[in-house]
Amino acid sequence: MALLETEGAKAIAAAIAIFGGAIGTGLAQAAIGASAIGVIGEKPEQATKLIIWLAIPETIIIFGFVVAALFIFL
Amino acid sequence: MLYPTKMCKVRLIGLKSNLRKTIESLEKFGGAEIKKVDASPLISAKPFEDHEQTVEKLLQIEALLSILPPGAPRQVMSTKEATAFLKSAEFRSEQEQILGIKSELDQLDVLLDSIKDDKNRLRLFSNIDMDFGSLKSPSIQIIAGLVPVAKSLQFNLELSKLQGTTYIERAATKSMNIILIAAQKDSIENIAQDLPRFGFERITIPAIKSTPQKQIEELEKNVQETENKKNALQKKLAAISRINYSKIAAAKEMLDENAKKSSTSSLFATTEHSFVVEAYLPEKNYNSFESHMQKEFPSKIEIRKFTSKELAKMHEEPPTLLEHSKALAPFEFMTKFVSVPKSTEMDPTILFVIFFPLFYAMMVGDFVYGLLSFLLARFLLTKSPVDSILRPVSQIWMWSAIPTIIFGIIFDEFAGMSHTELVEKVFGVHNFVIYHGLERLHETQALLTITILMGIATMALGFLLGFKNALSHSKKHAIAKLAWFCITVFGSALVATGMFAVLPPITLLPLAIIVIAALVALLWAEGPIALIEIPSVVGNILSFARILAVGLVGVIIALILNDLAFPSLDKGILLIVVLPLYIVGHIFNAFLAMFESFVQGARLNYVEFYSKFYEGGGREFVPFKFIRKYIKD
Repeated sequence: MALLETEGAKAIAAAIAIFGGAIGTGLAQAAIGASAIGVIGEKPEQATKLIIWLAIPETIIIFGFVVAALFIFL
Repeated sequence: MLYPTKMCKVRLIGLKSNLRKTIESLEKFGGAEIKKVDASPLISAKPFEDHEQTVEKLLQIEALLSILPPGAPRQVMSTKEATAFLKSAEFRSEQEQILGIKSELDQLDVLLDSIKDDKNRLRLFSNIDMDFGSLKSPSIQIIAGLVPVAKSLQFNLELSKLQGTTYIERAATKSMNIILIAAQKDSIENIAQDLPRFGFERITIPAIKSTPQKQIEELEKNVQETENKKNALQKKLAAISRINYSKIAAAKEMLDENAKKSSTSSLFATTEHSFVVEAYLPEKNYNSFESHMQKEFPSKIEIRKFTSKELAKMHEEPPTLLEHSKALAPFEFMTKFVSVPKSTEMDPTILFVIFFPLFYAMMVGDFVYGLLSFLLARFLLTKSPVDSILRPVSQIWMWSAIPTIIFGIIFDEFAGMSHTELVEKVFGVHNFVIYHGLERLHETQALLTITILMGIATMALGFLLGFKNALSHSKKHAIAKLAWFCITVFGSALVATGMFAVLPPITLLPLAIIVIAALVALLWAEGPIALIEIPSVVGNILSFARILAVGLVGVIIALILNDLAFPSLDKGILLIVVLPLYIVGHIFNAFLAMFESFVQGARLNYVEFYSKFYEGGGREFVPFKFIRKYIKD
């Protein structure tokens, strides 16, 4: 079956790696985003700083990307 | 440039009778930050005797300035002129006039609100063309109410069943109708009690003597007259402002200064006849400070200097003064944005200047987007106010656009196309090849390796800087930082050699020995808990892969736009639809790339890089000096 062929399996594995990272990042950023909006509602001057904080969980998707890249290239 | 300006502390001891003059001299010098002295059994000095009076006058002046519209050309006055103006009959008369006009304006506002309320109530009745003056009768009473349009039919049926009543119904709003019901006086209240169950909401009939429409017109005339009166009063205020705004603003500035000088005395510790005060200033300015104070108080003041080394021995943290050239000022803003460095630790501004544009440029990595970055940032810079956050951000953006253009050439990306494709599509010239760029879509593996190597290099540099920072206060901490450096560099080399044979196999043993030695040193310096940090360092290195990941997103979106648009461009009428979409698509992609690269570039600096050596938590140096706009000495 095509599903079990090496290239196909690599592609599926890479997709799962990205998927997992994206879910993790999305969940983390949802919580941070909601809290950030609450802070901005009271202190609008903190908005720019909070955008940086919002970017912190993106490491998770980057790990997923790196693992996916390793699957594709190795 | 790499470190904040060295600060020293001075302790002044003088006669209590010279306290006020000392405060003024310190303000005149303008380069020292006064520190509160806590020294029992000395007590804090009290504010000056005229403090309450000054604050009271200041509040009055601030009230006047809040009423007057600004806009008069700025005139500068001396302190004497401002004081004389405050005491003059002219000021008292202007004050009375301004407050009088304000009071009239407030009354007119109340009147306007009342008229508008009346109008809104009357609008409900505006479709009833009846003279309300004739509604009074000795035996008949009329009530009014609102009924939802949806329930109107049912309500009418119920009303028609009631004997001895008559009613009219008109539209009041989009969803409500107004009904006037007339009935005998002795039965109307019984009827009224029963109506709410049909959705009837009773309202008061306005006491007017004409039709509602005529009354509304009358009220609109009143509104116009009131508005005209308000405009006339506001013109009066503008005329007063043209003549007096600068003088009143100068008086406010002077009073503000006096109030602050007066409250500054609470930072001084005093005995019956003397005072003690401490201040921080840049060490290089000490000599000029000493000569300034000796000139003001010849032989009447004792000055003791505490050098930066002495402060370090006393574990006292002076405030931080960052001095950079004008070109680096926007990057200084980004340093302070996360945290002001301590006065003894490294100032990371110059590192941000080098690394942030590099990360940003590699992520955007497109010639056309780089050019767009530069033009947009330049435009924002011209439009942003001097003290707005947009100003330093747009300067950094403009600075970062230049390496972006260079990386666009390196990656051979021109709005997602290579130079060969661009020339072919625009000029129709085929196979025009000047060079072979490092195309991100095709050289992904190589670029992933480069970004990981950048991560290793940045982490290593961070640990080296941490080592340098730690040397001055903790040898153990310094050894820990050096151990981390060795683990990062030699550990990465070990893994790379073991997995990918990057170096000859003979290097494996020496690398392993160095890594083990570094681990032992780390365990000694930080304990077993330090081992938990190793995965986080690995994570920090891998985090640099985002430089490629974010860049690829932009490349792929640009590629899709080009693949969708270009086949349609020679299909006549489709050009009208496709071309604007193509341009908008690329502009959107450019914004996405720029925004994401800015945030991720800043994040790589602040989180991955700075966490290796930067502590922050310092306090910015705020010299005791007033900025004067309306007052001159």
